[in-house]
Amino acid sequence: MSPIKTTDLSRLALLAGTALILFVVESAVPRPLPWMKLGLGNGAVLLALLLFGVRQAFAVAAIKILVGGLITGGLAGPAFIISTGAGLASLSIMSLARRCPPQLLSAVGISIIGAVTHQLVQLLLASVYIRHLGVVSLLPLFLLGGLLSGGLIGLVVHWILQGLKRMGAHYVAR
Amino acid sequence: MQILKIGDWIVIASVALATILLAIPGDEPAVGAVAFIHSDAGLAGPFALNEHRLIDYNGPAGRTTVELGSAQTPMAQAPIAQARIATSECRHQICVSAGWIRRAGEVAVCLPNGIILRLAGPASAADLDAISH
Repeated sequence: MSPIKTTDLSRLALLAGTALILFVVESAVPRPLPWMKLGLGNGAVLLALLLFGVRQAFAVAAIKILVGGLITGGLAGPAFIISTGAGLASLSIMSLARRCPPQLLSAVGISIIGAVTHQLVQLLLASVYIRHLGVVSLLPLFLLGGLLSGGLIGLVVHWILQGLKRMGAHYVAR
Repeated sequence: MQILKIGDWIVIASVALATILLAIPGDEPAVGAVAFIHSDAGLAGPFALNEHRLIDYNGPAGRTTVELGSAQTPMAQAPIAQARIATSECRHQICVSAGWIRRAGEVAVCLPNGIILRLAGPASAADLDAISH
């Protein structure tokens, strides 16, 4: 394990802070259905994954989840456990999808894969929690939501990466 | 430079396809559905549909009888939950002619008497003590 550079450390801290702010602000916005949200904070996690790597992305996600849970007051409740499990599963799958060469799969695709995984695992955990498969009937709605929000977040992440590339950032992977 | 690569299109197409396939309503009714009845007296239910029962309401247009129960069909393994407005003394008999409702989300309504009969899926209020958002 190589020692982390100070510049990278501060950039990661910035990303974690961004993820946290987006997460908290978003959870304050009213939404039509529980569990239906854009997942803006995940954009910062995806950026950490693409710019730095798997370990760093998990660190950012952990900060977002733990501190975000503390701030919104949802820490350790059932919804918290469900979204944490879904978030970690989503990040794991995105880490795998990242190995796909950039000329085949862009940030948009990775983001959609992550969002859809998040939705699937979330429904699965929710149905385990209430011991009923009834919520699975929400699947099409959730998949559509994942497709739209994942695509949107992926597009934003793509543009940020392009902007960084233009600024001459040397570590941009795709 | 184009943003979306071939892999992105494959991902988008497969998710969209899965969504569409899953969104096509199946004919199989929700097993374990429950019924709710809105009336002037407020919301009653959830009623489990595994036993047969008749519930009478008296409204401005007369008596309306709601019938709850389940039916065994050759196609389904479990008895199918069903509910209907069996008889009503209202003029147009629209609620009665709506017949049995068997799918979650379906409703039968008797407007003159202000009765709304609604089937809900098994995961709704019946299973939950409370919902925290």
